[in-house]
Amino acid sequence: MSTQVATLGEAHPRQYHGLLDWLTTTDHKKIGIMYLVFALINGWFGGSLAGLIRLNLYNPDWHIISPALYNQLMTMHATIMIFLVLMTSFAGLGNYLVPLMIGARDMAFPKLNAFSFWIMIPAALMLYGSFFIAGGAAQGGWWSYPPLSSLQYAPGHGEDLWILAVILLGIGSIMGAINFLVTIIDMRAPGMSWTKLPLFVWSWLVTAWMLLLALPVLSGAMIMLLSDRWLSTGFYRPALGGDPLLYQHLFWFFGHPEVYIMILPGFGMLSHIIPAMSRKKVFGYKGMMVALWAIGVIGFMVWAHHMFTAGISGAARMWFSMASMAISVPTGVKIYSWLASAWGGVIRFTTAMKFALGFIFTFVIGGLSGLMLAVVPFDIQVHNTYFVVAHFHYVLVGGSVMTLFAGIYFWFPKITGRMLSEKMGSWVFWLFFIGMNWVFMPMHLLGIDGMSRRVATYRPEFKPMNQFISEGFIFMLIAGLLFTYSILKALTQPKDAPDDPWDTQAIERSLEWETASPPPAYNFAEIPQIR
Amino acid sequence: MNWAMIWLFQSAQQAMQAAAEQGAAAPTRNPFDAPGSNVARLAAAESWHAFLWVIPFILIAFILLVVVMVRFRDKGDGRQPAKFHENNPLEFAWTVIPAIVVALVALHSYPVLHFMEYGGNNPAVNVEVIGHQWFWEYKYPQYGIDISNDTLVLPANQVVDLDLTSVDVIHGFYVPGLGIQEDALPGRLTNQWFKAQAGYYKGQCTQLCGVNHGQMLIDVQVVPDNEFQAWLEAHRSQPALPAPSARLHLPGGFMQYRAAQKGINQ
Repeated sequence: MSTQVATLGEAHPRQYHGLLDWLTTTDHKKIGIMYLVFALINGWFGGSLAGLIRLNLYNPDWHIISPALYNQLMTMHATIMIFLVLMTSFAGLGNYLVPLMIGARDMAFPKLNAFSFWIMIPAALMLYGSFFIAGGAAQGGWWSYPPLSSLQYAPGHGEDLWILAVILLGIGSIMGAINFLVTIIDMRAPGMSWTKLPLFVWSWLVTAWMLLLALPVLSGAMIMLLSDRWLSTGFYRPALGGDPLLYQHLFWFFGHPEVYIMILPGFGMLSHIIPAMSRKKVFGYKGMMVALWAIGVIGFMVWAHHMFTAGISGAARMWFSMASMAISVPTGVKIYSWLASAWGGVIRFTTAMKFALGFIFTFVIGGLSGLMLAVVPFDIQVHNTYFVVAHFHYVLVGGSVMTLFAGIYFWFPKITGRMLSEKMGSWVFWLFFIGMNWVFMPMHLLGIDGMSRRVATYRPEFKPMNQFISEGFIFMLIAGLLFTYSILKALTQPKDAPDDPWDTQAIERSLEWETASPPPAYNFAEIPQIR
Repeated sequence: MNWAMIWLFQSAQQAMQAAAEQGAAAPTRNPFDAPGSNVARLAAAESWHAFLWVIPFILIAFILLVVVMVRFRDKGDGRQPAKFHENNPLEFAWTVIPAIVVALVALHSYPVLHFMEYGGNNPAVNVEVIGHQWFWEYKYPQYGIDISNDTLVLPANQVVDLDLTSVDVIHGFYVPGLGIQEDALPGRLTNQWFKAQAGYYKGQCTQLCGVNHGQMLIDVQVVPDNEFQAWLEAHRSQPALPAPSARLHLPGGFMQYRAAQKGINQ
């Protein structure tokens, strides 16, 4: 079959070659790869900013970094990691895998797909470039709450560039979401009914719906913020009858679905990796699918738990407390279903599986600290302290990033035709896993002890713990270096990966493993039939 | 004022000074190790209650994870993987049981939450807490006292009511030892009450408020009533500032607005 596919690929010659081909491509696979490379590069930038933050916090009296620059680093660390690393890498894997998994030749709108990617480049340039303009980059945190982000308190153009970059990224995400929705709804191979849709595709369908509903609200909030800054409007200005709380509601109406946008595709990937490595079918397919939708719906009803201390009414606190707790139920269903998928299996501890099982450990901690934060009396004690920093790093690093590592190790052979070194992979896993827990576990205690987040310096009693945390960062740094080296090394080797390196077809049919590694330009010689 | 009174006030001031020096050197108190108010004690108890319900779920997941890793790893003995991939009663159980538990945890916290919000009737002392970049201003409207960038001094074992607002950006008033955290927003009034034990409490701003956010510290000294009276006497002489309503951009004065808000709350 491979030879037949190869000849078909050559029957559709590329218009350009080399760099020009990458710049003009509308092939979902090449766009997917560009997303992933872009995410890795931005991961280095975002991670470096985290390194500088930890360096500055190593000693409260060093003041290596001025407080103004610290706020810029902290704002950009979050913005880059969220918009340019996590969303981007999930978009990359989704772009690459969704058409393959549903047996399509490309995304529904290939040119729009290229647009969604390329619009990120000016956005990224604006974000990075803002460090070098007068006044520096935005300093308002990734929430950019007014009045701190208003013209009066943020007079520099860094804030404007940040707002415009977020609007551009939002446009790209909305276009991408429409593309995913149409692709998944319209372009499934014949016979692929909804109940036969792979769970990764389900997860992207829910993610795309969330993007489509949440991102326009963010864009609207950003445009109002920009308008308040330059057009003398008063949406968020009390002196003109506006209200800064309005911004918080709008922002978190986007902001909380956003955290599920950044984890659901990861959930989808684990539902492929854990069964494949356990040599068993995924447990509770329908329950998994319903849980994804439950998260996708309840995710829109919990936003104000970010505002428990912002003076919202008691009734609102009660509702958002209950809803935030309720969302842990479908998340729990997924955890139990993964464990049941592995139960009774014959488990291969490949790097992908190590990251998947490591994810269960870290995500249970992150999920349950989230459940604690939904208890309002507790939340009031630790809101906006390092406890919250610990919580969301456990779900974003221990959650999203771990699933991304697992997904890359699992699908790298399909994408490049080459295997990643399992020996180095094991080192990457252990260094990252230990480093991640070393850094973020003590932050729970720092928060409970009363250290506020987003501070450039702190009271002396927090010093020993902060030094301990900063030391742990070195492990994550080495893991990142080794991971990058491992990828570069693999790319220099001959393409020797089999079509189905993990032997998944013996357990369950998944179309991406039926074509060659890497797949030819048109994916499948013939569109596969599903029975 | 007779000499005896002056001596009494002076010794009270000295006691306050000594306690402040000692308290400032000690680490920040937190509501779980050393709750310093009725609100902190309630919140800590409620947190432990929720945590006790959460622990079993952590343990179940971790134990299953370890069992899976140990028991089902590929030992190379040719064992065939199991074939099951659904179990309706099991899936029903792990959906419904956690749902009931989280609902109970949430419901259990409601009375505590309600008390924390609305329980502070007939406060003995009202303080207006006004956030500035980057210091706190405290006004005692009953006593005509207005201090800035200083320690907040409060009487012990009495209901204290804080009304928070800001003149510039959003700040967060967070004193973990007292179990309180509430944002101070421009154009809005937020409210927080508690009944504290004597002691020294440290906190800090929790809402990013600009360059010196990390240095916007809070110090609260809760003192016995006689020391509080002495402190009032020493500060009463300072000239009062104009009413905050001028800065709040609210219809009506600060106190009318507050009275209306209280009327709704109770």
